[in-house]
Amino acid sequence: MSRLLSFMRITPAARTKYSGLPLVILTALVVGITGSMTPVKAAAPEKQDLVPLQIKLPKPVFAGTPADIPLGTTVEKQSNKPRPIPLAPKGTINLALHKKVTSSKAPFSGSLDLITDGDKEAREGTDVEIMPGLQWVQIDLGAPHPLYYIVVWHYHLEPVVFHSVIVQVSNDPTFIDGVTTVFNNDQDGSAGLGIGKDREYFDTYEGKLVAVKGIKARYVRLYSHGSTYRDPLNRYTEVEVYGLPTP
Amino acid sequence: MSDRVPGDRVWMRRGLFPAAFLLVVIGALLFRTPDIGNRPMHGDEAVHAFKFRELWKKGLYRYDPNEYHGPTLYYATLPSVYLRGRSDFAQTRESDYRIVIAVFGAGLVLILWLLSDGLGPPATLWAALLTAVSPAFVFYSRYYIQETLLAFFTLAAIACGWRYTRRRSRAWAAALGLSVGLMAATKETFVLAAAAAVVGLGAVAWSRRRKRERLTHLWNGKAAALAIAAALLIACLFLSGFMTNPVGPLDLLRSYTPWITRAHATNLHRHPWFYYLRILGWSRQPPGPVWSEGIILLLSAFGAAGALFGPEKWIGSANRSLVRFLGFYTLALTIIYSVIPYKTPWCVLSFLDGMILLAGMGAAMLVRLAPAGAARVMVVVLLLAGAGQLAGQAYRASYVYTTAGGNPYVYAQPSPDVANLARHIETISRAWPQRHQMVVKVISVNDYYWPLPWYLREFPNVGYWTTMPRDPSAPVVIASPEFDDALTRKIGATHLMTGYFGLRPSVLLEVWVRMDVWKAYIEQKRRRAT
Repeated sequence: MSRLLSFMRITPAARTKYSGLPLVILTALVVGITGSMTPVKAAAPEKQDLVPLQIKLPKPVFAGTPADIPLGTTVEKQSNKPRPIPLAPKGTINLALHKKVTSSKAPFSGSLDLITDGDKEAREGTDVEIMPGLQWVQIDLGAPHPLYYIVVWHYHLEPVVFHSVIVQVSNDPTFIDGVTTVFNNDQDGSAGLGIGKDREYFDTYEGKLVAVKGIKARYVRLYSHGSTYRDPLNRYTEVEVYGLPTP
Repeated sequence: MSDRVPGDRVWMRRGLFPAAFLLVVIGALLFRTPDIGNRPMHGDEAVHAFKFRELWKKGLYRYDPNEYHGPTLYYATLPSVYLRGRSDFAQTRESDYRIVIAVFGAGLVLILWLLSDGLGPPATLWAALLTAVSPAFVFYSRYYIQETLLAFFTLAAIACGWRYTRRRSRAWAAALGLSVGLMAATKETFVLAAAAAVVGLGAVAWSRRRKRERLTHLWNGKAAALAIAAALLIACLFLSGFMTNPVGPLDLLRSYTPWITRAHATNLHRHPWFYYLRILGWSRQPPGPVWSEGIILLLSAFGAAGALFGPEKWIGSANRSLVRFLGFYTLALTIIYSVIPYKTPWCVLSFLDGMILLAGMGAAMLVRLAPAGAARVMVVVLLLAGAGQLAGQAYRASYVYTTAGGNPYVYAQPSPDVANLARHIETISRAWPQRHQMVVKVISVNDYYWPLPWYLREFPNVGYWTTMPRDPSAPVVIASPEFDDALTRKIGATHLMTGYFGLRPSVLLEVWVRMDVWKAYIEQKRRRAT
């Protein structure tokens, strides 16, 4: 290491000061090379860059909390007030709109493009049904983007809780390398993707807002394992992925 | 056998009819039995399973005039658990119970043989095929309630009655009595079928009032006495739990007070008069598919009209009086069930069976009326396609949309999530040293927590409350969300609410697990994963 530094002809004091520099450079090189495989945390945007993110919400079809579910459940507190408007960097858009969607199993009914068609209303023909058991859907954003929020509407025609909801982002379409889990409410780890710390929740017209904190990724994968609904299917009405378009 | 039509004779002579009939019976059984536990236990099924347990384990049956109907269902289940080698209630599975109904459901097809000389072989075959593939009959042949048994005994009574009119033998009179007695011991609504049968007989008597051969020639005092004695004997034996509860038969009479009140003075299961016809005719709940047994409705209307107004050659070798009886009996029964405000979808079986017999007549008439050759082949192909369409719906109802999808036969069906809840409790119990001895407390806002006891049947230490107990703490607490605040105050510091589970549509349950048990459970899962 000292030979390398002497070759660079720098002072002993500087040697001590910058002795860790090669390691930093090496790390930077590795990160740069594998950049396309690993989500990278984008630099936190300056506060003044943040603007309210306007998410167009569908019409609510049931009011607030279901009749036999009181406010104040420990799973996730239900609120009568609208959700606070999230903040995101200026220029943030829904990158998932009309993007290609794949799934672990072919849909039982409906087509996967319903997930990114922009129609999130709770009515006939707006949701896709996927076979029972632990299943996933995956959205290909086309290129890595810094992502800030993911909003998921599973099914909000009536009060339903979906089980083992897990949201991951990655630049690997197989979700083997460089996977970041941004939401996981599989509290007993039955999905085999780790024990989740997030809470179960009721699907409502507001959708489930998941913060992604600027992680740069191309693929978004969402898992679920049935629900409290009257059939064991997995359902998706819409998924929106908010991030900055690649320059 | 009155072989007046050459075509019908051909069926019999070449042995085609018995072979085809047997094929349909076997097909009906095979269609009803696979994966018979695929639907979560309905609340009513679970209650009946527990009633059966009393009979099986304690040898005890007490007829309750307020609920649960008659005991034939439970007695019919005994061979199933014996044959499957079950020794304990906790070992039994859904299939142990539903297989009994599936056998009776296929038996409904078999019993048509007794009517084959009254309907004619072609109509009998069509009726057998339509019974085998009717979505309602297939679906409720996999459902542990009394309705399929009632339909079976009712058809048996009609068939035995028909056989009696052929030979006027006392054996058939006794068989008729036994069938009626078993109807009475199955469900209180047997009186509706009996009333409709009186209407049907009255209509036949009226139609033959001016002819030489009146129905009076059928009367035989000894045969009637034998039939009545057989009916009373068998009904009393079953309703008294084989004389362990002598007041049981009297309680059957008392049962009509609560049932009549329920039929009119309650909003529970109250539906408009056309409810059943809508189920059979056309129903769709978006985004699910369309459901319809309209083919049966149309063919039965055609068959009834042909029997009433058509010339002799239309009905072939069928007995016009029998078909007339079936026509008026079915019409009367449909009207009776429709005007009673209290309706549950499985009640359609009672009059749908009559419709199917008439539809068999209608189908046979259509074939007969078609010009010989390509046109007749085309009619047969179209009718088979119609039966195929019904079979497709039956498959969809019983194997795909078993709990939802607008399936019109699904009613107050527990969510499949209840099985997930059962698995959740079962896996948590593995972290408890005494496994199934783990205490589970169920706190529900009302008594409608069924079929939960069925899913917790392996746990002997389960308690049920409908109000908050003074000490709700237990290794596992299953509670209605209404108790959430109270539970948070009482056990929030020691327990973790581990998730919601669906019991029925929009009825959820919370599962609270004590932290030490939860930690042990998670640790166990971790160890297994590594």
